[in-house]
Amino acid sequence: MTFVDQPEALTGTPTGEAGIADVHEAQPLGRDVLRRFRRNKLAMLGLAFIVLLILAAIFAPLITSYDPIHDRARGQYRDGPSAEHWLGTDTIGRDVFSRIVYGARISLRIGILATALSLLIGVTLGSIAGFFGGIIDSIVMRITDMFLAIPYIVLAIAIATVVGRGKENTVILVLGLTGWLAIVRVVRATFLGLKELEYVEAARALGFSRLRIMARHVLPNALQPVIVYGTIAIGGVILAEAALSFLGVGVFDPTPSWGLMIENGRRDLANAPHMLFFPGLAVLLTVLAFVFVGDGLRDALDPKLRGRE
Amino acid sequence: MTSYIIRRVLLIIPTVFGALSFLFFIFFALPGDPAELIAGGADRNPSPEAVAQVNDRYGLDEPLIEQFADYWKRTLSWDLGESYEGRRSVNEILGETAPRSIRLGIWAIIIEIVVGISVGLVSAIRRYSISDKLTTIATAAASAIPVFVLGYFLQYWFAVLPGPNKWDLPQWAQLKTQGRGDDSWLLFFIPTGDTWRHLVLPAITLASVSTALAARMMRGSMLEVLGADYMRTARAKGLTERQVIGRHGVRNAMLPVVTLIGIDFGTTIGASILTETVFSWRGLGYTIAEAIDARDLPVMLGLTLVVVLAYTVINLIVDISYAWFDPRVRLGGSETR
Repeated sequence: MTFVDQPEALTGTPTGEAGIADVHEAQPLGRDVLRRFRRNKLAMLGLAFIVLLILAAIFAPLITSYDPIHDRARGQYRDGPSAEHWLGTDTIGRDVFSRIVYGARISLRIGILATALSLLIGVTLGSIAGFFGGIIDSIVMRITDMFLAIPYIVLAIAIATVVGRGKENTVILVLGLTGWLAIVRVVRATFLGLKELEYVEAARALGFSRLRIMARHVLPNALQPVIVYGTIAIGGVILAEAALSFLGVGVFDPTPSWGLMIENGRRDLANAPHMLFFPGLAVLLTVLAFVFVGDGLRDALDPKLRGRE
Repeated sequence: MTSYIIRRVLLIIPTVFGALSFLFFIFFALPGDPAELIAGGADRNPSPEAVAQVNDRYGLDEPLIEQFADYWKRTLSWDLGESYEGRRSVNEILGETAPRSIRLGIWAIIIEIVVGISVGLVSAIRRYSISDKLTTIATAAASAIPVFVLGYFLQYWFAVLPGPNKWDLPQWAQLKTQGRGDDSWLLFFIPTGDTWRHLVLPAITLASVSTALAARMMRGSMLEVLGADYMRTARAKGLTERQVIGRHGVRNAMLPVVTLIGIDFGTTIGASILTETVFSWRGLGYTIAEAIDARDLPVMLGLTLVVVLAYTVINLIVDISYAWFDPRVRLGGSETR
C-alpha cells in the first residue's frame, strides 16, 4: 500500500498566475490528462480489466448459472476445471468460477466503500493538521503515529472484535478505520507545501476566512495526490480484505470472498490446487489493475514525474 | 543533534503508551465477560464456579481502571502476564518465539537490500530496455500478489509439481516447505545443518513485497542521481563509468531506499504474520495469529507490545540517521518532513 513514497513529489505545482477565483483551470485536468492516460498501455489494460470486473460483478447472474452459495454439485468435490465447471468445484461441490464472479461484488464493494471512508477521515484530518499547524497538527500526528505503530492486522482484529466479526460491514469499517493513516500524511504534506504559495497569500490578503481559503483554494489542489493514492488504495484494501478473511477475521463462510476461498483451498493444495490459485489470481489481477490505473493517473496528471518512480 | 535525539526519543513514550492502552481498552472493555470466554471457550456455558475461579486468577472482576493500572505496573517491570491457554508465562513464550521471527526478518531484509537494490540499479542503468520493462511488471506483480498466495505457490511448485525438488539436486538444495528443521543457528542468525533448507522459502516470501518496493524506489532514486551535476563532474574528471556509478551514484541513490526499509518495517511485520502462518514458522506472527484465534489476550498484548516497540525503535534509528545526513531535518524539527 505504500506506493506513494514521496507525497510531496505528487503535488502538482499550481502556477502563480492561476488567479484566486478559478484554481481549477490551473490544473492540467481535462483533455490533456485523458490523452496522456490513453497512451499508457498498462493503465488502459488495468482500466479495461476493472471495467470488465465491475460488469461481471453487476451481471453475475447472467454470466454464471450456478448460485455461489446454494448450488452444490453432488459427488463433484474438489474437481478440477471442466466444461461443466470452468474453474472446478470446491470442498462441498460449489462452482469456483461462480464464487469468484460473485466474490468480485464483495471485493469491489469493500474496496470502494472502505477507501471512501478512509479518504473522508484522512482528508479531513490531514487538511486540518496541515492547514492549521501548531498544536492541532502535533495532536493529529501523534495519534497517527500511535496507530501506525500497531501492526494493521492486529489493529483490524481489535476493531473487528468490538464491532462484531464476520460481517461485510465490519470489514468495511475495519479497513476504513485503518486505511486513513497514510492518507493523513499525504494530504498534510501537500497542504504544508501549498499554503505558502502566492495565490493562498493573495486570498489571505483579500481577507477571505481561513475555512474558505482551505476549502476553496487549497483543498482542490491537494486532491490530485489523493485521487492517485485513492485509486491504488482500493487495490490495497482488496488485498487486505483477502488477508483478513484468510486469517479468519474477515467475512465468514458461506460468503464468496476471495480471501476465504484461498483459506478453504489451502488444506487441499496438493490435490486440488485450483481451489487456491484461481481466487489468488483474481486478487493478483485486480490489485495489479488498480495499481496500473493509479500509476497511469499520476503520470497523466503530472507528466513531469514520468519515469521518476 | 543531541536535543533532536532527546526530543525524538521522548516522542516514543506517548506513541507506545497510547497504542498499548488503546489495545488494552478495546480487548478488555468488550461486550461480554472475558472470564466466561476463558472458562468456557467460544460459545459453551461455563459454570459459575469456573468463571469465579478465572476471575480470581486473572483479576478480571476488578474495576477496569484498576486492571489498567495493574497492567502498566506489571508491563513496566517487564512482566507480560500469563497465557490463558496452557498457563505459560508470556515472557517465556516471547523468549521462545521472538528469536525465530528476528532471524527470519534479518534474512528477509538481507534479501530486500541485496536483490532490491541491485535489481533497481540495473533497471535504472538500462532504462527502457526489455529487462527494465520486465522488472517493472515483475515488481508490480510482486507487490500485488497476496503474501500467502505466493507462499502457497512456492510450496506447491517445490513440493508437488515437478519443480526444483524433483530435479536431480543434491540433498542440501532440496528445500522444505514446512517448519524449521534442526533449528540450529551459528552466531544467532546463520543457519546450520538442514535449517537453511527450511529458511529459504519463508524468507523469500516474507521479502517479496518489500523487495519489490525497494527495487522500484532504487530505480527512481538512481534515475534522479544519474541526471545530477556531480555525476557529470565525476565523468569529466576521467573516472570510468564503473567508478562513476559505483562510487558516486549508488551511494547517493541508496539513502532514500534505506529510509524506505525503516518505514516499510510495519508492512514486513504484517507480512510476517501471514508468512509464518503459511510455513508453520512458529515465531511472533504465527503466535499472535494463534492467540487471536484462541482469544488469548495476554499473549496478544504482550507480543504486540514487543512488535510496537520494535517498530518505534527502528523508525527512531531511521529518523536519527536521516537527521545525521540531512541537517535540515533536525533544524526544522521532525514535523515538516
